[in-house]
Amino acid sequence: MATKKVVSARFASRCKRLTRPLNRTILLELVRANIKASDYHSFLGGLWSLIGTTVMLVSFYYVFSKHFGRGIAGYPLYLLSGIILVNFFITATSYLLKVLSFNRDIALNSTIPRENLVLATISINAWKFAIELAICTMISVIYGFYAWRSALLFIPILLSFLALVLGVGLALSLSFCFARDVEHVWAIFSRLFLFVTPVFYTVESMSPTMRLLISYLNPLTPYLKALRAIFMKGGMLEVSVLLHCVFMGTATLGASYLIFLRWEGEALDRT
Amino acid sequence: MNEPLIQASHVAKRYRVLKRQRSTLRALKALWGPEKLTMEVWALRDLSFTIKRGEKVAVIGRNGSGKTTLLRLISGIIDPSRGSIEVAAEPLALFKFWIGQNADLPVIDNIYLFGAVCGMKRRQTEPLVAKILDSADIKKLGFAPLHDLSLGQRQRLALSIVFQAPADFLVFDETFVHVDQAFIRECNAFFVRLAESTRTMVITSHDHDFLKKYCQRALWLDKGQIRLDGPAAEVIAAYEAEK
Repeated sequence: MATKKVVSARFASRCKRLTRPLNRTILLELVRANIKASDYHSFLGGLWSLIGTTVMLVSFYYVFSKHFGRGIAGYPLYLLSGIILVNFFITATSYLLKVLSFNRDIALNSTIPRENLVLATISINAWKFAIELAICTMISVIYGFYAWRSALLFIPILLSFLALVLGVGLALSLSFCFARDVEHVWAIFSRLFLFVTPVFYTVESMSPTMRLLISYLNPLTPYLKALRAIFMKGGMLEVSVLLHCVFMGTATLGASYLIFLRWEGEALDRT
Repeated sequence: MNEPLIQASHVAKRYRVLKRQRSTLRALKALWGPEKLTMEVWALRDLSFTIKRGEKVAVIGRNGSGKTTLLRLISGIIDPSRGSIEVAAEPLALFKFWIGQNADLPVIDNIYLFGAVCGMKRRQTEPLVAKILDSADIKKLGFAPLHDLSLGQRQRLALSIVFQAPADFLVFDETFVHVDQAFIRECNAFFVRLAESTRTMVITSHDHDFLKKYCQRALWLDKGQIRLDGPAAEVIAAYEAEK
């Protein structure tokens, strides 16, 4: 009961603080500063950051195209959409994992809302992801798959995907404050997403049991299905997939944020 | 002027501090064993006070008496473990001058960034940039990365931005230590203006002459409790007499 009271009081005060116009100014300046201080603010820096993705795409294409790529029109685009989605999830959550411990000094010695620090941290990865999505869109247009009216679908899909990433990242950042081993465990575990997500194979090529596991236990699968529906099927997205995405993102972020509000103080004490 | 800005009622703050360096094995042992991994430290106990709008209040006390914790509670950075604290306005709080600065960015970008933290939008900060650089005595270093500046220059930069901020409620925690003699003139001019204004200030400092000059009231904290609350000169004299 007391916990519920604490969380609801914090939630109310945070909502009040986060919706102030001044908070938007702080968030914008933090995002601007983060991007400017990163490699991505210059053309060459941005180019370097895309090399990793390109190398991965080329390697995956040569290794898997003969076996898994048969029957998939535009297999490079199929691969690229999977690689960028999983890479964003892995890198953004790994960054978020340390957000509380790295920013402890700021969190305890300034009135900058902690949510702003979290959003500013993810902004660099989100910026890179946005560039990669634009590249995917261009390739989709070249292939002739893209339907411009499907661009609207990006909004619910990307917002709910960001919510999922933030939710997982918040949970990780809290647990990292209590147990440092989380970093090593997540470094190994997160890499598995490249293989348990249908990045280079199709869900249909799996056994019925695996199909169910990959579709419903892997949180990334519905987002990948949705992105591919935009890039490769002219936006022919099943409503159930869209609802799955929205539910997954909202539920993950909602649950994680409530846990975050309850434990942030203790987590910062332990950092 | 007489309406309360801060109302604290039976406020207490507890921290959980690790007994020993943490390891996963010790954490697992603590989960199942009788020995806890942490111990409770009460930084503040049963504090009740009111600060009115326009008051300039000094918080004094020995190291570890709970001054910074009290300022963090007032600023809304942390929540009390018991009791309640109501603050009618959000303060501009300055605990460490390097908070809100990005060392990899040029000085000018940091002015905008720290300006935002101090409550100023870009269009409000823009006309003040030259004045801030001049006040911090780094006119020629506007485009230099912040990490090329000395700590003293970074402190002057942060304070020069704070001096321009439109905040009505200010919280300072030992912010003016190590300020060089040349910059003290700027600081004094700011505090003279502040003392004459209707703005509210809560400040901690070990410079008692400074506090007596600019604060009307002082709270003496001792082991997390209020030992004395009253006119600054009297409270500081009592504190100095005990030392």
